[in-house]
Amino acid sequence: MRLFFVLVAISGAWAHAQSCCGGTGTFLGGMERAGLGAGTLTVGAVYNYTAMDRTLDGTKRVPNPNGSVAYAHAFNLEFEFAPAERWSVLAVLPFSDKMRTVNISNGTTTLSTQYHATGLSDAFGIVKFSVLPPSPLSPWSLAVGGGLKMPTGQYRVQENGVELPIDVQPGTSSWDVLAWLLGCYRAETPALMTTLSVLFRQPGANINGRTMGTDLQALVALSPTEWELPILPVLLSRWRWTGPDRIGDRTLTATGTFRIELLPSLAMTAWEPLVLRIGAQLPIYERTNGVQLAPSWGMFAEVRSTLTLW
Amino acid sequence: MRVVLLLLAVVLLSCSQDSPSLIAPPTNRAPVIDSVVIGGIVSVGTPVDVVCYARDPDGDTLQYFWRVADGSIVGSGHRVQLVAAPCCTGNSTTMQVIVRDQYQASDSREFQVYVW
Repeated sequence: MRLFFVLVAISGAWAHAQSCCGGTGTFLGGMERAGLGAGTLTVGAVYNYTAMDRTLDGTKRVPNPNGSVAYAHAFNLEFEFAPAERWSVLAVLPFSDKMRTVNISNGTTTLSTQYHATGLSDAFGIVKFSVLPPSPLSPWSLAVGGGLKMPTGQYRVQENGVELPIDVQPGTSSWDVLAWLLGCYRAETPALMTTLSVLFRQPGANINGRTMGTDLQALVALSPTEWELPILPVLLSRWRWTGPDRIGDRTLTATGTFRIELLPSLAMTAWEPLVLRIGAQLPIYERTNGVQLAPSWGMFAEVRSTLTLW
Repeated sequence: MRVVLLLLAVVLLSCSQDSPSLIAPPTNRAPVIDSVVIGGIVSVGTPVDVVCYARDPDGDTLQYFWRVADGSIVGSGHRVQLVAAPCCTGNSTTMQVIVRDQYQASDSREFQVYVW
């Protein structure tokens, strides 16, 4: 039972930035968890905050040419249901609250404004299949999946007769294809669970004909499996590569990043079957193509519970 | 029961509109955009004035709505500032302005802006 909660707890927040310049959403912990047993339902909620108050050109910190800083709050509701052995379906309903400033001078006057939008973001779902289900007989487990992100979020929010910039809009207006893989290895000495989850996202073209960059994220999680305390430390590291955006066959030069982050977190399992987890999001290395606003730090919290229906 | 249903219907009908809609006179004419002027070279870090010159044949009050595919717009009304996004240097972006009178008759103009 403890092992099950370790598996549940090693979930992390996937920053889902639009690849050029702005706010983030969240890919949920459910992406980093193997499928459920048949007849079970997991309900979860994840909150993620990302601050973006630094600008990079390659690996070098530079002043933002538009005087921009940004933040994003993401709140996701997550449902995962296993209708049959080895199969489960994850559905995520995200809400976001994004802000970005512009503070710039045109020589004679200084323009200062703040764009802010709140609302339903783009929902997504994944069908998972456990190739090697977790078992006491084997240290290995493997699951694969595929799904879609749908343009359910608003992408035409306006204020005072001006449509807000695309990076502040709650939705992206594009359909994205998702592919997912999760592998776990349970070592006896030291008693550690290592989990690798990989998410591939291929965005479609948005309403303006722009295709955000191909996105590949890998999350490595380490957590102890023999742990008697109700507070479980989990160390995560996220590696993320995002390709450049395109408009038709033209590439947008200042888009695309490579980023490595550390996400230390604590999972509280004292109130089983409720699991609460909190963590931080700390950048270790980042390289941008051209000048881009970049995440500076973040935090996340998650609560979830699994119910057995039959 | 009938009274309750009647009251419910009254409440629903009274909530169906926030304000009385304006009925356009049969002779209402749509506004006309004469020109849109961009006040300089658009480049990252340098906001540029964009002005829409429009008129209404009936003298109606005009409202302006602006959108840009990539970048930010600061201000409102017939004169705004375009702030180019760093992502899009060396590319064109699409900008649009829609002008409406109070009867929702409108004219619009879409144009490409090159970001240097």
